[in-house]
Amino acid sequence: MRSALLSTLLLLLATTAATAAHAHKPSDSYLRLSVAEGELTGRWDIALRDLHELLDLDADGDGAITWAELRASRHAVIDTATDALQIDGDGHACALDFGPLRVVDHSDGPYAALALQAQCPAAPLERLRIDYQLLFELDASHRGLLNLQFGGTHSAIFASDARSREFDRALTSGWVLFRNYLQEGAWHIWVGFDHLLFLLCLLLPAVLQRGPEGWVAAPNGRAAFLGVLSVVTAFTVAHAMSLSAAALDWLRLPTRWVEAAVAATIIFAALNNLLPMVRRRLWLVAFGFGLVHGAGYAGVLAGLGLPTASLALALLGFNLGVEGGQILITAAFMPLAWWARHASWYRHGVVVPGSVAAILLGGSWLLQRLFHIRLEGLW
Amino acid sequence: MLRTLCLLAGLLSAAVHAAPYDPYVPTTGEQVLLRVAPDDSESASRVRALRDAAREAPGDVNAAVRFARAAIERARATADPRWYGQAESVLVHWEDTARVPTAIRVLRATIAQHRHRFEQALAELDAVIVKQPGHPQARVTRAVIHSVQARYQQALRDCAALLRVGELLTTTCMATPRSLSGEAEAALAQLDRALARAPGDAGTRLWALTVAAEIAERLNRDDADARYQRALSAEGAGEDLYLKLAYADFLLRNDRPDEVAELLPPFGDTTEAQIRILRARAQQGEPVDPGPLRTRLDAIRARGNEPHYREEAMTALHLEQRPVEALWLARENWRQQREPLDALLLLQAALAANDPAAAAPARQWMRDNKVQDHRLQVLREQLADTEKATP
Repeated sequence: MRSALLSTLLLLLATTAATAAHAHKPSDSYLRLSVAEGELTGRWDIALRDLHELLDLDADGDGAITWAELRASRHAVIDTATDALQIDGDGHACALDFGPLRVVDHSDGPYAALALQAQCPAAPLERLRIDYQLLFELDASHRGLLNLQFGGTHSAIFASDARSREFDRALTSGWVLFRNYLQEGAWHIWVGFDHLLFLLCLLLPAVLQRGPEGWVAAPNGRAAFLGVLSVVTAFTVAHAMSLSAAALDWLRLPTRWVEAAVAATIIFAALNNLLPMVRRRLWLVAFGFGLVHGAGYAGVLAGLGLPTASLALALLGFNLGVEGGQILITAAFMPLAWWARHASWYRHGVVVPGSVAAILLGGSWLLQRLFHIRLEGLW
Repeated sequence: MLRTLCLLAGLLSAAVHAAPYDPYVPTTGEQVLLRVAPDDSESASRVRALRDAAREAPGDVNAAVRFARAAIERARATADPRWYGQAESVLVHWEDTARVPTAIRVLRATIAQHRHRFEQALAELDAVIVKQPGHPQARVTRAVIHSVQARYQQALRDCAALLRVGELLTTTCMATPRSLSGEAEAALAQLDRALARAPGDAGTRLWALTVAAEIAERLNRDDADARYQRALSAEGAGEDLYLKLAYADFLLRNDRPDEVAELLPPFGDTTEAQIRILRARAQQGEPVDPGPLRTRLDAIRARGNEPHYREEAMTALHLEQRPVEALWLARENWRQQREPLDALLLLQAALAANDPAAAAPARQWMRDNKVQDHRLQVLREQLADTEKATP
């Protein structure tokens, strides 16, 4: 009992104290397929380390796997591959034919490269279903990384809990990527509370006009609408510009000042509703402050090190998402404000207290961000 | 927000994982493609026998535990993470069952911890300790996770539960959390007393010697080097990557790059070791190409794993001279783990990126816990100077 306990402890001490060491990556295979003119061809790279675990490639047991030993096992290798992969084209199973065996060196060692050709009854193909079963029984952390050319580029990761995937020709991964970023952009405007607050501060008095005796309802719906449109557009264009500049690493600003500046823009916009400083060309203010808001992500985005090709598409989607989100919020807010513009409660119960609340909130953010800095300075 | 962007980054990097390697036909049949453990080697045949036994009897707790332990041991000795996957594959049987045996839970926790899924590991360990409050393995593992995530009081409570098992184990377990919460000298003195008095098994002794060397280094004591040497000559040190990396970092900090390369085998090919070897080369004034290392780190991301933020941050900071990216990575890393090494990385990256405020979380951690570490204190002062210099 005592020695069993100690050996247990020995095991866990070493494993708990050590970090995640990776001489080799965990087990992955790389499956590249492409559909062109009804032909499905591809290549499957499977690590020799994994094939050895499955098939014991070291026939003479000397601790070295030679090319002759691998070649001698080629039928077993092809059988393994055939059992582990199933491709259906438009609901009909495709016959898989694995071509000559070759060797390819990846970043973590040698792989067997199997050329692959599939005969699918349905042509032209519209929909593919791929079932991947390699190695999961032996190694639960195995992954199959798929790169598929089918209309556009698709990629997928097969795992022990995700062994099957379907692909439509029409849905290219570029489109999927774009759509994801569109959603992220819309989500970002919704959860980025300081952006939302700033925008609302600008919009609150849009249905009003300042006369000699204070606020009155705007007489001209078209002018009010154009005013709102110009403000929202200017804000978005500026936001997009600085965000993109940041993502492309053309712009680097210290995060703390940008964050404090974002809070300051809210105070200014809200204060402007109570003690007007800027009455005309509000869009210019929106533009300048939009630059500040977009820059808020400078440090983070610059740190991502993204590939430029997909980045352009992603940024476009993201910015369009932001704009769409803003338009939705504006479209929801404006009719209500328009409807309420004559009511004195809108002026005294919404615009004024709302702006005061925004000043307080923006002020507390500003103090927080500045106080944080002072605290750091003392130390 | 950061999490969203993190997600975006993952999405993008997954979309571009194409690997443009060209296949070839080797020229001769004798060409050796891969070295593996020979069939007659004791460890290889033992592990295979255990694996076959476990696979033949799915649901047999003892067979599964025996193989999973052997596989985790192999994973550690060879730094091949495939062994963790193999261990996991025999534990799958208990995935959807309501009553999971304690031994299975502990192994699942060990694997989860290796993958830096700390929350999952803690959930498993909590369940074990509720049932068996004195379970030594669960207590040690949980103490280490608490300590890595800077919950020192909780770590100490888990260590205290080990007293029945052995004095050296308990003292060692306590030494790291104590030393990082303002009691470094006392923890080191107690560790020395326990080492002199209590025997302990080889694994515990090695752990104790390693922790003692680390504390001595943090305290800037002259005997830090001798303590590392003593740990390195202890039984089992040859297969302890953690210790070797700690000493390699010590050598790099003390401008002794010549000794790094010979220290790290048999782990020379791990990403962690590669980072130190390349840094040593750079310190010696040689040209360094971090390309292959970056390729490997990208490949780990491409498979959809949790990125290795610590290693990525080190690579970006020390080898690629990309301080802004390094800072972002170091901050992500700090959310996961809070060992002195991680604080060091965050402070260094903040300094290099000229963004002192970004290091606030690590400085807060130093202040809150009264951390004693001369390396961190030097950096903190440098950061304060930069802060004063910038208006």
